Amino acid sequence: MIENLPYIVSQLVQPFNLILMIVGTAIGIIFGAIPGLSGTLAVMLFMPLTYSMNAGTAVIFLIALWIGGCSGAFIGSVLLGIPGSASAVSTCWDGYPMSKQGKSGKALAIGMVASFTGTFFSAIIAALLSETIADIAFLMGPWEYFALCFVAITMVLAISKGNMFKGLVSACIGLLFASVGFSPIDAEPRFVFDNMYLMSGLGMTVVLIGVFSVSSIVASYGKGFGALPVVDNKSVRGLGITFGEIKEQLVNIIRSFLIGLGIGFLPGMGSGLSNLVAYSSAKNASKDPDSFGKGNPGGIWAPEVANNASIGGAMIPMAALGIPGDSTTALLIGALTIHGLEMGPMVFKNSGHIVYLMFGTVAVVACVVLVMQVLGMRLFPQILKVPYHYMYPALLIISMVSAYVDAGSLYKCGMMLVFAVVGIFMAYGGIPTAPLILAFILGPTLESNMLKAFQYTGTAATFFTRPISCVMMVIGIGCVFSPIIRTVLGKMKAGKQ
Amino acid sequence: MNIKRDQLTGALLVVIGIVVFVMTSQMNVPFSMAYPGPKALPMIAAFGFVVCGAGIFVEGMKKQEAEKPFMTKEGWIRMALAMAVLAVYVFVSSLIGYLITTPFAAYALTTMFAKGSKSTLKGRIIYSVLLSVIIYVIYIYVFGLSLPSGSLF
Repeated sequence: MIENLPYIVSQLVQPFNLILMIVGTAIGIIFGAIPGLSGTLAVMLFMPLTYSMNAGTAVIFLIALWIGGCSGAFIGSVLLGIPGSASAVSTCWDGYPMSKQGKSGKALAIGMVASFTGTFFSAIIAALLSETIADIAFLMGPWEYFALCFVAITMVLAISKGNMFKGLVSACIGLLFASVGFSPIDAEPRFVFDNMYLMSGLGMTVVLIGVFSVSSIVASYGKGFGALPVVDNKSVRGLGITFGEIKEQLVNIIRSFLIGLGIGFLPGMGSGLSNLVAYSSAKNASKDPDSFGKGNPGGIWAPEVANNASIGGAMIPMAALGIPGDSTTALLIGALTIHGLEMGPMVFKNSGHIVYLMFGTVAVVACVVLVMQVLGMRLFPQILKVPYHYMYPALLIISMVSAYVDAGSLYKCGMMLVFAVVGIFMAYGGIPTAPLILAFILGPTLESNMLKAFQYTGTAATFFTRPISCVMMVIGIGCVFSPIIRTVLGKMKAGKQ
Repeated sequence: MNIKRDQLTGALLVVIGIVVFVMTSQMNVPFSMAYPGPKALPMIAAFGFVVCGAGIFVEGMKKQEAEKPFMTKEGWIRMALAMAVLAVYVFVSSLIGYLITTPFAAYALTTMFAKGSKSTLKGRIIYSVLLSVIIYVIYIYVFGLSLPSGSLF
């Protein structure tokens, strides 16, 4: 690990990389802050820009977008009462009441320091643990890898809103999209219709930008944007937190950090869940639980430390196993593959310097975010006041350009519009999108490991006879049926009462 | 009879599942329990479409409460118009390239999206041109990537 330090420093101090880091962080914060956009979307839209970069520069830019997006999500929650993304849902519950009491500055300061704490320390833990976990991963065969991919997809189903069928069908759409092109192992063409653009598969950028970005913007336009939010500018001043207050929250911070790190580590889970769990834990452990929801600072510390700690947690399975901890790490895995970096245990042997650059960048960007947020606090209300009629056309044009750059062909831009229609259909049917991302990106890994497993043993029983694989499969199946299990358990509990 | 959104979604998913199943079955590769081969993944997807589609359909039938409409009729028209502008943008870009087409597309979208809010014609024109040029400079000169040049030039 230490031997990579000179490389990490040499990359991080390059002027071009530094500029990209600052620009990426600023874009990430803006995307994170504005409700409806997110750091994931920023990574999706700007990923094609990295195609001309070397791997190190690409990593720095993408990580800056991601961390900026995660850290900026609390701004909308505090100032508008509308979360910038799912990772900051519970931050609204106490952040917005604090704003209404004229304590926006303090609420924002807590968000900034909490985000920094979660991101910085989780990156250090990820750097320390990942290689050890990668060494253990060498003992895993295709059965375990298949089971891990299966768990990653199904865990998202377990937490997706709406009913079980909708979550599951979203994953099936992802698997179907992943099937297009030549199959792994057998190299058999599937759903290509003799079209050369389909031979190499659908392309991550085209599918994801179509389904998530274009469809949501067009649907928002259809539904009507509504009036611009009203933000109280006057109370956004001064940091107003002391070391004494931080000390007071120390137990809450440590507990939330561990929750975030643990949930982030679980395949498929991420900040969307960790902030909720940390918030309820903080409330349950508090001596004054009734003050939660009315502007208790603990209600900002908990979700913000947890959702940012999930970053480091999610990076561990991403780097060590090649299995994403959440949707954004799934995207990053895809983006890094384009730069010749196949995540998984071998990455430490082949490109260890890049992996450690990734961890180092997260820690440095956490500091950059903190400085930018402290210095730019007065600008937060302005970010939230960007008129929709200027912001959304820009995003649509960038979406088109990204799809073109990804494939070098306008045909793929046309395909992206088709996927936008798919996205609108999913929104119409209330079908969640997170399982689609994971299933689409993990589909090829899932399939190739499944086929390899069958080639070795010729039976599906082996998935259940190898201990780790069996445990994972049981968890995965449990996740698929978790809504039914929850309903049955709920009825049994109600019956007892 | 008032068809619910879930019923329509479920029915469509079942139809897609059947189509995928038929197309996968027509692939000329063996499929066995010892080695499922390239048919396995699309078969799993097709099975999921049919089962989940049926499930969503049935749950939609069970719903008693009145459904909030997804979008108004005007909303659907606005959405279709936006998609049409994007489709025309892609097509015209293939003929005359990015640099000429984008300011017009950006202006059209900005004007459509600005309906009902404060914005001036001059502001929208300046914004559309600036946006197109900034994106062009970043992609071409900063990152060395290419943008559509058009087949007519």
